[in-house]
Amino acid sequence: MRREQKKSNKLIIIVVLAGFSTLLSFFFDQRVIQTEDKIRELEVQLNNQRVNISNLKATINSTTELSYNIIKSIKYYKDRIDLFYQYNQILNFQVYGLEEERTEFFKKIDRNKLLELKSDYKKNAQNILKSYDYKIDEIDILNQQILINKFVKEILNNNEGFDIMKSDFDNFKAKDKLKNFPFNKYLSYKELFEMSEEEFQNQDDYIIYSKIRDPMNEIDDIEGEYWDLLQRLKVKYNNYYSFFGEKLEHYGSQKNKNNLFILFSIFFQILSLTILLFLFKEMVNQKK
Amino acid sequence: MARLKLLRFSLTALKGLNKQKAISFINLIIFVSFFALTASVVSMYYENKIDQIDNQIVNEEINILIYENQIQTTPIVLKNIEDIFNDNYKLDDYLKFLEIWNDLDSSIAPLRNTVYKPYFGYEAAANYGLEQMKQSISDAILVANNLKDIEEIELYNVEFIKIDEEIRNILRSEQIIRNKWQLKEREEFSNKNTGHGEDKEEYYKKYSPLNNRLIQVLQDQINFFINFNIRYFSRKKIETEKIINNLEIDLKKFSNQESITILTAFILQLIIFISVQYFEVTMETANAKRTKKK
Repeated sequence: MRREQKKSNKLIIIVVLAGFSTLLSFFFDQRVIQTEDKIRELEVQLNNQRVNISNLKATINSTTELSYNIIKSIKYYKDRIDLFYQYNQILNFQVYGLEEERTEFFKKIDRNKLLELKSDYKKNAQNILKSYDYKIDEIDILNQQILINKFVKEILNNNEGFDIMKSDFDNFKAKDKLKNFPFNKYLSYKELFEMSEEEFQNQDDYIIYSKIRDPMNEIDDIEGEYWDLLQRLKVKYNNYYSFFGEKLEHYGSQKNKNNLFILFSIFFQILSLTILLFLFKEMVNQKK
Repeated sequence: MARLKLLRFSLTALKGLNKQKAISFINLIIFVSFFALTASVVSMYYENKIDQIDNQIVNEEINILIYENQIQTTPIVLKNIEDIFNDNYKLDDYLKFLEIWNDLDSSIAPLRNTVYKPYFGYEAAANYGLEQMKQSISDAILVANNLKDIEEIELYNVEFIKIDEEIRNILRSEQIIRNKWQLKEREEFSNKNTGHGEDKEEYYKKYSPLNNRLIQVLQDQINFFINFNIRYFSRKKIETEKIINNLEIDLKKFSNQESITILTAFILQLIIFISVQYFEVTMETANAKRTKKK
């Protein structure tokens, strides 16, 4: 009777072990499902981070190029309008000035040829300003492209400044400001040298020239804003890049954990089957 | 129908099988189950290896993104810097020609156009080049993974610092020249002194040495981009592509081994499962018979 009791106890222990092992297998199955969720989430985050790195890189490149493009082209337009202003004055001296005011270089040149040159300069100045306005349109479009970028938006929302970037680029255009420019205005050397700074700045040709030239200087200052933006974007880019490696490591460890859970689940499944075999072995042994 | 067949099979088998043989059979299956357990552990080992290689490949691919960006942008940067030289030299040739007349009238080709204005073009290009150099060094550090890389970066970082300092010095000198001139101009305007035309030419002339220094800086920057940027990032790209290639070979090897191990584990598990089912059905039938007899 006591022997029977012993035997059945052994059987019960084996059955309990098999049940426990099956339960563990279910438990690890559940853990696999939960970790799978986390892994999926991490995969999404990693993909986002990869997209963000590419996005930041592209924004840094386009901002750098646009900034340099603006300096280079605005410098060109400034030079051209300065040259026009300067050479138009020189030619006015030669055409309308007194004999003693004219220079040797121009003295032997036919007056009509000088007038022709003056008219060419006028036409060129008008064309230059037209192309300058197109350039402003181009800069505006490219600047808008940068502004709609999510990282740029974030930086602009969290920081003060960037006034030129946010401003209306139409204000920088030359439009028809040159229309009223006194192309043939002549002031003798005497008048010029006797003029005070203020008087000189109140001359209608200088006023129009300044109205065209000053916005060129203003838009040129956008370079500083782009430089500031670039430094902030670069910090973000470096952070994203550094954290990508870290996130990838975390993702790897989650995957390893998941594999471990799968392993345990299969292991306990096989173990429960093995314990059942022990049970059958015991039952066969008990059979008379 | 299938269940009946299995029942018949199990009953026949049990009749034909004595206790000793049954125990030997169970022992054999238990022995097999240890192989199944081992196979499952081995397959997980391979799975871990595959995951590690996968992550390494993703990491290397991100590095390739940086190399390609640098390799693509460097020629654009070089072109932009060279354009400044080319534009100025082209204009310079004409202006130099006209400068001969400056003895008679300095307004024909004033120093403002030949010396002063080009300075700002050179300065803008130098600053642009410097920003790009800064980005290159930063990217190079991000992707550096061995001592050789660090040594190379260190070497060119010295060059970068030298160029950076030179640009700062030039900008400082220009600021001093400009401030001095502005003070003088203010004084002359307030004194109604009209003879500042020649002084202004002198002022413009002071930009000439700064231009030469900036030209040298731009040439150094070109050297940096050719000798460091193109070489370093191209070398890194080739190395990374080789690493990815090797990793992919390993990945293929491990995934083949893993699939064989998983298949073995599955077959063994199936054998164990069928055996357990066989015993379960047999035992259940025996129990059912005993209950009926009672």
